[in-house]
Amino acid sequence: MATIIAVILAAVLTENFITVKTYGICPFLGVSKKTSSAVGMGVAVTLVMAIATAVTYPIYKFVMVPLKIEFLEIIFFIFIIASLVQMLEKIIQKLSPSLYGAMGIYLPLITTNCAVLGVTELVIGNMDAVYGSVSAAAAYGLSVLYAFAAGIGFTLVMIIMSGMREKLNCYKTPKALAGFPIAMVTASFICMAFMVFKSIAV
Amino acid sequence: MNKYKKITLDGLIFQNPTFMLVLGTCPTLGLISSAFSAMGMGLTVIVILTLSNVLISLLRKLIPNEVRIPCYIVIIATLVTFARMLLEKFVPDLYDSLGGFLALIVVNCIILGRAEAFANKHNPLEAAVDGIANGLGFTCALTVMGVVCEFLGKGSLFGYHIMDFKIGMLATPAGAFIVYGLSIALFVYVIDVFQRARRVKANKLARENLMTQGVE
Amino acid sequence: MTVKQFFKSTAFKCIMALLAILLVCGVFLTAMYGFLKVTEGEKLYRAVGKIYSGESVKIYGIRDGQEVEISKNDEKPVSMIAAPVKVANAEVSDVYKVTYDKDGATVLNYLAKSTGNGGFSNGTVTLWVAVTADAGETDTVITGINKIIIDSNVNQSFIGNIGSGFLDSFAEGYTDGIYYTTEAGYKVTGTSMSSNAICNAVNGAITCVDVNVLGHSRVNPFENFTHTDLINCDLSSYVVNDDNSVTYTIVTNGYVMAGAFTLEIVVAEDKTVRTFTIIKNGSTSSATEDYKLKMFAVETEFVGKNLEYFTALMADGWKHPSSGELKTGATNSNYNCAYAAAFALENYDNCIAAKEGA
Repeated sequence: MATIIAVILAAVLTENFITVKTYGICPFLGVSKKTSSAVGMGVAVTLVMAIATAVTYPIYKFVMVPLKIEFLEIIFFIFIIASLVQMLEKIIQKLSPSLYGAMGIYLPLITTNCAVLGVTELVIGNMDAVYGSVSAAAAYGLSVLYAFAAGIGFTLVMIIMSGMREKLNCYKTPKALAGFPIAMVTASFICMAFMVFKSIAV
Repeated sequence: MNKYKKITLDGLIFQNPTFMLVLGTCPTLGLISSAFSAMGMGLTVIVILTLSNVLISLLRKLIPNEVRIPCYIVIIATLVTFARMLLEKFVPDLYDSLGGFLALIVVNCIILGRAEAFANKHNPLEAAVDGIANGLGFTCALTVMGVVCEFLGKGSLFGYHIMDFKIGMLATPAGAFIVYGLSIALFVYVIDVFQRARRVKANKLARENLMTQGVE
Repeated sequence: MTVKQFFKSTAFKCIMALLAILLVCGVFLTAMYGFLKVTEGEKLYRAVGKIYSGESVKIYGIRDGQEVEISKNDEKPVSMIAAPVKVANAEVSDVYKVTYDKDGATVLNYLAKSTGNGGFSNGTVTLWVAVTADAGETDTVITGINKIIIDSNVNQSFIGNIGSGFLDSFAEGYTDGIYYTTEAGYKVTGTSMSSNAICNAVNGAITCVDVNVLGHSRVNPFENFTHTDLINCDLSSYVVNDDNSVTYTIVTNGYVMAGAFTLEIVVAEDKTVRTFTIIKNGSTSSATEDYKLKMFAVETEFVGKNLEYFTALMADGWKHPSSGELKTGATNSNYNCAYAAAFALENYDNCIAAKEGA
């Protein structure tokens, strides 16, 4: 139980993908102008991160490692992610057109979101510092949980950022600072606030 | 020759991928806390970008339009894997300091972006020049910001200790965001001033021409 | 769509183009991987080379009982120890014999990767400890510490405060049989918990190299004794006196906030405590003196008590008590003392038996 809480806290707060690891910055800056779109993107990314990890982790550990083709991981992973995203798009379109309307447009953008490839690459590495020593099955479960929680952390920061940018829109910014520069300065303050969580130790 | 000059200037300044298009932000923000890793990332991207541009330009007539994106991704992923092997074998220090960002070059928008926007429409030589120019623009931007962040954040340059005074915040992602944001603002401002000055000069020239013509 | 049509369709062309590119790329990478693969042996040489800052080292391990030089092409480099060795408060995962030339002479080192427990928030610190040794004609003995490098840590938020100066102080302070403790000054103020884990790791590395690699036996005076969890068996000892009383000198491991206590406990023949003396108070905190004052009056109250009294003071199974007389505001320190006294009483028979056996 303590491990599960530790993994969730690490993924959401202490090792937040945006504010600490700086993964997934393109959608963070590009799709955070409005809260509604930030939520849509966040949910889509969370979903894809969890599913992608659930698929790539066993493929890497139980197929690629025994076959000694670990070095092809980048090609395999990016292909799996791209196909997953395509499939997910079609499935959502079929099952729930309204959901597709809300987040469908973000799905194609996710293939080139480094948070997704980042988390799949991260969890196949050495995660002892987060998990402690656990069995192979538990490591798989925790990896999927980690990916899901990392997506939640991503969504959290997206929402905070979009809220701040909506407020920022009410003020006049100097011409050179308008757009990306002021968004980055805003992001910097969010990062500083997230530094507080570094002292969490479970 | 003019064509290559334009490609180069676009890549380096007017369409600079880091400052003007704001692409490839993840490795930028993640690595500019150290000038060494920022420059290393830049150089790696130059090589991969140039090679991918040339390869895609060579294959542009062979790859069917419908599956071009998957094909580009496979080519880029292969180059990245190859670069990763080379770095791990011959430059292990850089390999360690780049960490996860090395694999993430695959999803770096600059590379796929140049493939889609430039390489599949131009010949290999132009594609190569474009790759080098864009890569160089990316590298220069990263190195400059890396130097600023490392000097102020760690009191050192390329790992060599220089001074004890340091603002630790600048070596964290928070500092990277601020430095990156302000660098964009400065870059945009300077280019703006520069272009305005050029416009004024051109206008003045035109007016003088008009006046001399009038006199004649 | 007939088969013939399919072969002429765009879909077929797309699939073929994609497959062809995948195949070419896969073959290219596989071929390159053969050339560029970094073996485990080479990784080991890199890690060790970094520790010895560029000296050209030779690394040895033990395979099938034979000492062999590890080559850079080795897929599975072997260590001097077959399995990780657990020692008091530390675990040593690998030991390699390392030699290199310096000023015309060959330097012999044993390099141990040791993880020390007892750090900040129950974390650990992993060190590479390079122990210098002198290969005599009959016996190889440890002569000092060459270098200590921090490899990694778990939960040590303030490890950044620890500089190379502190790590060098271990080598400077080495004397034969030394046991490093934070009480002996091996600590960085503000990072004392991490310093404690580092001490444990260094001690563990030295013990492991001495006992498990060089084969020197260390007599454990407390073999077969029960309840040794909180007792530092390497530093504690006992003497059986003429009147069949036993004088223990016990060093505890410390517990959470409380550091190691050094206690002298005399157990009389009727299995009661005759005297209980604190030689070194391990009660630590920023307000050390306050904690000492808050302690239960162990030196007077413990005298004349038997085992039942002490087990009743502690929680079931000799665990840390959450209530009762020991709960004074310095409970951890009291618990250390009560545990040591109970240990001394319970093992009285073992001491006597060991003396009669000898």
